[in-house]
Amino acid sequence: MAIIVNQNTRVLIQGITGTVGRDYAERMLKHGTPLVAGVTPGKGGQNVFGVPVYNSVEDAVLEKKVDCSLVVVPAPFVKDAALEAIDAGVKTVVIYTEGVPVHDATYLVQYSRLKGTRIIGPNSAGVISPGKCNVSDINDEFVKAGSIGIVSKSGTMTYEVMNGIFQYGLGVSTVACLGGDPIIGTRHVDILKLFEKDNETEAVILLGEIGGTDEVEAAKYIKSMSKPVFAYIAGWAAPPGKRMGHAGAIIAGEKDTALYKLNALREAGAFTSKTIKELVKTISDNL
Amino acid sequence: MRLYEYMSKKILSDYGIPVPRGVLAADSSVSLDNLNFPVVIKAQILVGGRGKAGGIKIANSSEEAKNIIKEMIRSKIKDIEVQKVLVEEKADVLKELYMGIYLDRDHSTELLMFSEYGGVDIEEVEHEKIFKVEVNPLIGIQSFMIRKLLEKTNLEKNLLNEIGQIVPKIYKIFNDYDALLVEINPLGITKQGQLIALDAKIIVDDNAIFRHKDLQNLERGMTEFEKKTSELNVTGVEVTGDIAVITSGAGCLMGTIDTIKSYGGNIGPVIDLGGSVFQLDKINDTISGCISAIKKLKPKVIIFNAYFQLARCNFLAEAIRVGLKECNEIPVVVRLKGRADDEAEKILKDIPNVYFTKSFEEACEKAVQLARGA
Repeated sequence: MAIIVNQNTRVLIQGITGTVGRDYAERMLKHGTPLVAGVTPGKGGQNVFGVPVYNSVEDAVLEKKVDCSLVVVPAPFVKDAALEAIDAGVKTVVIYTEGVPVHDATYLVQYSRLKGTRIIGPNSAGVISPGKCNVSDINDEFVKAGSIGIVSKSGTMTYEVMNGIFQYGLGVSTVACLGGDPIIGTRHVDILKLFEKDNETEAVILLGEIGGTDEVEAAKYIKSMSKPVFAYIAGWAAPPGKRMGHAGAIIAGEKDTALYKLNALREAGAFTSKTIKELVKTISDNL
Repeated sequence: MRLYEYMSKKILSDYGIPVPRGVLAADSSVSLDNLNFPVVIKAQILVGGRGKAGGIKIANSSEEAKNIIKEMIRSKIKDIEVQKVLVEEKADVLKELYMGIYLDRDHSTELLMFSEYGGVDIEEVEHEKIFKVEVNPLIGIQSFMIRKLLEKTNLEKNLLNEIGQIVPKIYKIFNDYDALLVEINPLGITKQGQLIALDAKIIVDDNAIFRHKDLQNLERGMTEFEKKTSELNVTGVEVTGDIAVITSGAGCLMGTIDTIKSYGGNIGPVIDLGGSVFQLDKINDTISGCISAIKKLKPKVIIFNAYFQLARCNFLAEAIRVGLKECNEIPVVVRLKGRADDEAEKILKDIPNVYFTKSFEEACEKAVQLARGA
């Protein structure tokens, strides 16, 4: 099964004619992701590596049926693009763009809830179900399919952890990177619920970071989960009050420190680790 | 970006919220003739708790005020040099309230807050003494929300009406300025029963600065290092330890500093290169700029750590090679893994004082060893 995206997910790229959009399209086509259309207003009728470009999401949906849209337009245009996708009835919208104004993110997350759309991001490295569908900046050639689900905020953190577990012969069912911004559409707990039900996922790796209380919310759900969860919260060595690369990675209170979250996860029954190395070892010892 | 108190108050005043009369002063030559005494002299610095640190003083005469201004300007409060002070007429207040609105990341919504217990840090006020009402941005502020916010207060009716009129004003500021936080604390009640904003804090979303031309060239309270890295379009954070860390990606950055610390190392200045590793026309200048900015902070070791699945390691390796020509006295650990990492190794492996590896762990461990040995 895998979660969120699979071999039947019909993918659209909003912003397909830009540099980032073209790179994504090329990779998707090369590795068999079901990319069916692109949208760039004013460039309808063109194509990118043979993929038809439409003027609007509605046009693309009518002609090609679309399940998932990847938004790579520049930050000032993300709100409009994502709202357009939600209005056109696209069920999953992955926002890759970094630097989206937080008010815009809040507005479109609220609208998505009203319409029942899943938003992933903004500032998300995307989602991949290896060998089936890749809407992420994870390289298909570097990934191995298997039965571990990963939910993470960061793409580059996920690279390191995957690299570690692949060396033990393990692989991943789906990787969902939620994004490093303070306001995001999908949270750790949402993905845990999907993994818990997914018959291709046997264990879950939860990667969190300083800032916000998403991981504390996730801990409450972990108590009721039947599948093992392995957690690492990055940034316990970061100085308080400083933004660590991600707009959302800043310690503002007691509950958003890495150690508070890690404690909450441990008490909920997750295997917790303080470094990537320790995490990988814990996983290999227990699976 | 946090705005200075005097800017925040100017904005409040523009939106019809009363603030004390006052002037901004950069030295003691400022004319105070139009002010009524006593006055309050407030250092314009972007940290909390300045009152206790000597950043807020009262003067009863122009002469006394000027002496205080002289003392305060260029002095250091909480390690920050004071450039400007705000001189304001001292308001006679009977009671201090709190009013604020912020973006609540845990619920992806806007949250209004009000408390009769203002004048202290809101985190120190007991939870049940703060009233909160969620505002869904899809519908914006509505009268029922204001009624709900204030329904449990013990204040008299006239006053509540006045407070209720301020709420939509701060909500408008919050949206017009793309603010993460607008806070009036304290919101004073004068002897005459009037409301007055005695202090104000507005934090504007850095991601939205492109929509606010008037804020683009403001002094932002950054260190030299942070200014320099911001010009290079990378994210720098000044930390005082001896191991400087440069990575690509925030997750990799946090993973790296945790690992270094677990080996007993002290984290120094850090830089997240982010998407700049894809800008091949600029990458050499970016890396040289980062190295020279870091060098000024005199770390004992610099560690580069990146795992590229899409960008190519050899371009970053070449940029590091070029950048290090100006900096061969500091040992450098380079961990590059991923696309074209063999080519990267060839470029860097014979440079003196550079330790190349493809292993995350080995790189962090080596950096800590070098910092100890140096």
